[in-house]
Amino acid sequence: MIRSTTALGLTLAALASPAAAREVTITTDLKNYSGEGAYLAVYVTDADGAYQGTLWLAGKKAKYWRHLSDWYRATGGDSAAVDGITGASVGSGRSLTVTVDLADALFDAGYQIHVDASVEDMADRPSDAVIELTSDGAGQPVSGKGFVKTLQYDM
Amino acid sequence: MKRFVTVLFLGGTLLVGAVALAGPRDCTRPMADWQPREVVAAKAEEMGLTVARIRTDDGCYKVYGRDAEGRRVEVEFDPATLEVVEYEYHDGHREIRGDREHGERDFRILPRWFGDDDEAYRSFEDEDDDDDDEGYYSEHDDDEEDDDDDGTLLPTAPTGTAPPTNPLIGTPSATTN
Repeated sequence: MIRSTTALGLTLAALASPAAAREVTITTDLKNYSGEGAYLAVYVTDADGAYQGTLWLAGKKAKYWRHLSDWYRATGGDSAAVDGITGASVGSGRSLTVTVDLADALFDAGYQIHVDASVEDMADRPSDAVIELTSDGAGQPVSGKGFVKTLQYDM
Repeated sequence: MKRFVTVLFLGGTLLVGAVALAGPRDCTRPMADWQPREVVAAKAEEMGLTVARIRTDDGCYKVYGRDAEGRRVEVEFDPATLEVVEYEYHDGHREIRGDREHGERDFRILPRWFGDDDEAYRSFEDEDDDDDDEGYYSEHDDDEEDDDDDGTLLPTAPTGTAPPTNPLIGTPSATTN
């Protein structure tokens, strides 16, 4: 019985945290755009641009998620895709920090982190900032084209 | 006394702010008096606008399009008389607004990176937020959520199914600073 309990525990641990993974902190800094809080979708795509999973969705009203249009197109706004990983929208000039374990296999293989952004009464910016996951790309910020000032990841 | 005056001032500011937020509705016509969309489109085109879409907002018709000079405009019409209630347009990076009570004014300077493409400008303002209107005139407010431009009913909630998350991605957590 002890052995089966241990095995179950190991299986659950493996599900929650991919094997050969590294803890990655993804920081999205916003510009001072003088508007309402930004809705942000942080998600991963593969080398073909195919959606792989959502890391965080900032902005709680599902009716506005379609403004995060690249993310919405990939997920259909499926609330199951963001169950437990949603939070408040992010204010002008503020930053969102997401921490997640990413498997080594996601690095140097063309996988990218995207941030879609949208602000009420201003604009929608699908893929406002995009950064590729590489072994030596950590700590090197990329600029956004809209509301995102910089996007970077650290390991 | 100074504290009292400050408190009074703050209270007054909050009160004015609350009134401004709650605000009177721009249009309050009963539904029976509303002109059809085609008439609104014709009126807008008569004014020299190229109509991109027509919605209902705050009890008014709201027309999105371009003026004769190609500038992006939004014009609110009284749904019964088709009088212009409010409008705004972009002139370079200036956003200019006008309404029947206050005339025209510079509203704000838009950021340099602010796009001029119509798709990028689809703002939340296009939609009615039930939290704001307490259901008042909801038949005409919720245009974006429950029908398309032709009045066809659409699902009110997202219905898509996301592909499964790649097992190489762990369980995230986040903080905002």
